[in-house]
Amino acid sequence: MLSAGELLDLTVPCDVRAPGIARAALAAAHDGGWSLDESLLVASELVTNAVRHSGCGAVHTLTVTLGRRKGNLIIAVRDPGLSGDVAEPSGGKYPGPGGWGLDIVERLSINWGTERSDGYCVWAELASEW
Amino acid sequence: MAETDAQSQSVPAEELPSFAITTDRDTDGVRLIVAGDLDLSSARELDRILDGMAPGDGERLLVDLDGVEFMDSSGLAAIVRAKRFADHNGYRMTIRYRTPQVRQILDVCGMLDYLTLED
Repeated sequence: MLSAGELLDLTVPCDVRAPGIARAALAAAHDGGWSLDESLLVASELVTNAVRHSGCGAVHTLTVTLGRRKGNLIIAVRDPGLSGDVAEPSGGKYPGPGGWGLDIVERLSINWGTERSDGYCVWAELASEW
Repeated sequence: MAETDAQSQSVPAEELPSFAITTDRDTDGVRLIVAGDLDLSSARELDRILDGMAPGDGERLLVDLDGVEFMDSSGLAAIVRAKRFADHNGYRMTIRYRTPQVRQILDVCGMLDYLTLED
């Protein structure tokens, strides 16, 4: 089960601003315990996927949380899950409409996964640098 | 691909990450200077400008990413589309970058060799 967002619990509009807002908040929450560049990229990809594929509109928001699990960083992005789409990497082929986003998440994380309950959540676990 | 509501709705410009594109000419052709964050909020603008690029015979298009502080797959996809278009239309496209994070995403996505680095 996911840890609570003890490092960050952020609500962002479900539109093109969301990745930038999430990155700014993540950078502000960075305590040196994990790779900032990798976490910014993973968060940006997870949030972008939610904006592009969740079927959300102007009235919807996304929740971005950062927490720790056994010392590692968990980045989780929850969307309204309106489209019913599932998160699936392109598998290294030239990316289709889904793009490279989840391939990047897969490469940079130790684990990633999804949950469908109270919307749709995609999370990634990044190695601690301590 | 059909656009979602989320992508087509307009948002206040002051809430977007900083981003700028300048077009310039140099002795080798056209130089597109990109600065700021290249993500979902700016990739479409880059697409639009790249679509209008038409280097002359023997000229190259340089996409200069030295001023890009952050790039994700939305930005990379726009650059790869431009490279495919350049290959298809018979002109050379090169890139340059300085930020380690930009190199990282090119590496992670296997695009270090596909995108030609400017000498």
